[in-house]
Amino acid sequence: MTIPAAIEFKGVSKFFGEVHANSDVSFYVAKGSIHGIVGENGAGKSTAMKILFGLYQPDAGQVFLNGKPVAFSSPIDAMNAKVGMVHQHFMLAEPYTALDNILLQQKGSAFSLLPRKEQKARLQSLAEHYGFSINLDSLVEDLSVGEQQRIEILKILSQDSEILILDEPSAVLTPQEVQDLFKNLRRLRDEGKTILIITHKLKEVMSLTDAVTVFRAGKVVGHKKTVDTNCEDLAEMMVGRRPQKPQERSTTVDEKSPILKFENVSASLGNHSVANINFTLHRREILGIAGVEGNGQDIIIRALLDKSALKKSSFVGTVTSTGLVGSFPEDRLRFGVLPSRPIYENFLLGQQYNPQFRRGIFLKVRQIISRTQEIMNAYDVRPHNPLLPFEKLSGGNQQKLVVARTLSQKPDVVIAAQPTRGVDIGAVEFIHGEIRKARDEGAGILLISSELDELMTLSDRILVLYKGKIVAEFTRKEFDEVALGTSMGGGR
Amino acid sequence: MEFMLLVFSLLFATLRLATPLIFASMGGFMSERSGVVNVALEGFMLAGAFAGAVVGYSFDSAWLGWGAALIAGLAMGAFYAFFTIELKADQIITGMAVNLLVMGLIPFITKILYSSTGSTPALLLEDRFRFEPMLMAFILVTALTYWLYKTRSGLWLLFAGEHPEALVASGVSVRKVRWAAVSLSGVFAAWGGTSLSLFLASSYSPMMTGGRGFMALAALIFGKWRPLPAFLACLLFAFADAVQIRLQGMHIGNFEIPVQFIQILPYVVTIIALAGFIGKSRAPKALGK
Repeated sequence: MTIPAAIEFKGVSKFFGEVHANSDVSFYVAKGSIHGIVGENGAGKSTAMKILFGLYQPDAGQVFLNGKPVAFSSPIDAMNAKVGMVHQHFMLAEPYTALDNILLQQKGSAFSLLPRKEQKARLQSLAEHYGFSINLDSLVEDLSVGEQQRIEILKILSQDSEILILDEPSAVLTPQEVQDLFKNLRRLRDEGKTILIITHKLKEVMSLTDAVTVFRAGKVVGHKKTVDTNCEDLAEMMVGRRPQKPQERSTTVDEKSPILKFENVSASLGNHSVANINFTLHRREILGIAGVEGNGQDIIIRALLDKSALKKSSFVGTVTSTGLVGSFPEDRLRFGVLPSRPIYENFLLGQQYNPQFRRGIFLKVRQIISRTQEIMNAYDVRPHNPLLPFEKLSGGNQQKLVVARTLSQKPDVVIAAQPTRGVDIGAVEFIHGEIRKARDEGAGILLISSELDELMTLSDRILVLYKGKIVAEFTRKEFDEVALGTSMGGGR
Repeated sequence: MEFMLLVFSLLFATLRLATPLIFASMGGFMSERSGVVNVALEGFMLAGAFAGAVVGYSFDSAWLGWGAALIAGLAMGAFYAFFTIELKADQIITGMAVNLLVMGLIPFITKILYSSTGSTPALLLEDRFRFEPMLMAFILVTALTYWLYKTRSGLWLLFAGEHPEALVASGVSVRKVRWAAVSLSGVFAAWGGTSLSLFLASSYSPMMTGGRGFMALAALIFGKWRPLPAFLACLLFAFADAVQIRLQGMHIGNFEIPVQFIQILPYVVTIIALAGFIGKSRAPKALGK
């Protein structure tokens, strides 16, 4: 190679006590390319990126930028060397304007006045140059997630960074926003920027990147040009085995036994509403509700679980359900658990009146712990320790526990809202397996998701929700990615 | 004519009585906006009131007393900062401990200095402040408002309490910002205290703050952690206080309303304001973390 690589890792290792987060990691990234870093949760991809960004220092090995060895002791060093990072959780303060959030990054003496006017003009022209549309004067809390992400990218660009690291940038975006993001990233690449993108969505890797490095268990297990590989290969490298093909179902939908019925349901919540929702869910059926978030999914969930949360007297129509209703909430940390409390207390939530777990006003703590232990073993929630605070579990294990909590109660109707958001491939396989098992045992499942792949692998039927209305229905043999995607976006 | 006189005297009393509250709530503002809960305002005020009264009396100068309050406040603020920021002690508990410490320490020092545990000796009437602290309180609010929204360090303060990680990512030390803010919080609150002992009165008397530190905190919350609205809230509480003083000794028919009953008025207004009219008041997100 004549041109030195923009980034090169040579034999980089990082240990946390006994854990080898990175061992002997070597890879390079060509200048002016989009490079994917893939791997399951805990595979070491984030550690490597944090070393590059100066958040961690390597225990062995060396990082090179443009052929020169570098050792960053803090993100400030990294930023001075024109490396910028967009974190998965944005570094933006909500009550302040986008402009102020960007200005915070800039150096200057403590008592100097903020150069709001000049900087606004500069940032505006920078944004236009890269084709971003941004209103710098709006408060961050009024911006959509996609816009907030653009602010983060603009923040980095305003420091003339040459290298951009994006950590799971599409995790929080709608399909349309993802397309916009990719368009912007390609444009940045064409301007000569080098972009690293950490992700576990392989389709995105295939459509966006020029090359890809695969991490597994702290090591680099593969380095490919994107044109030379495909999703299946990458998945196999990530997991270390071929992902199991789900078997075709051996049971059939019990068409004669409906267990959940929505009839002419209209309701509103906040500033959105649903109108004329009609559907029937049967035993042994998985009914998918497709749609970009914010199109009324939350109203459907609340119409079934908690009508009092809806806007006063906005609810009309009838909802009838048979038997026990169980649910996994769409945002587990907000609605489903108490993150700082031990796992067994979280397991108890929703079953606190079960006589198995209480005597009068007292809890049978020992029984709760042993039952939690049993469930954690059965559903392989690691580490198998019910006394740990819930937040100490990884995302995949958190979700497994939430799923286990619901399904172990053998509900008749299951509302699975975004059941695999933010979890890795292994946990996705597991959770999908459990959902199928519940179906085969006679439950009806309402699967609310914005992931087309998930909807298409699991559902028997899919309804598309757009702006509060059901705009399309697909039966299993009609499933088609393009048709589904279009109707989710409101098209025909 | 008499009515106009009444209105004027009530207004003037409001401004006077608001002075200690304004200083203290600006102190609370600095600390809480940087992310450190401050229930120690009461203690800071007492320390300032005492230090100001002692030094002011010893040198026959209110201004030297004012300077002494500055030093006492800085010391108290730094003490609180050390425990909450360096040792990461629980902020509420540390704050209450500071209050108790000051309440115990003052009679101890008074005993040594004046062989009594009660009030300090009074300044001559011509030595105490006439209007200066009132004026300084207004200047402080104006200056803080300008500083907060216009300067770089104002932005640092806002982010320290709202999104400290973002501040760190910009290369600014959250620790330093909080140290500065909490120390200044001590100074402002101590000035509030000494406005009591050198402006509203002419000596320190035990527990003379009477919960004004907490009232200032309430004003801050009622004002949604912003300087100007907090200032207005202080005026409201002070107005209740002024009315209360005016109403003392009032009769309904032949029945004299007990003075204690009238004295609760400002506290009742505080509670009603906080419980009833607060609307959506959002604390800095990183407050207490």
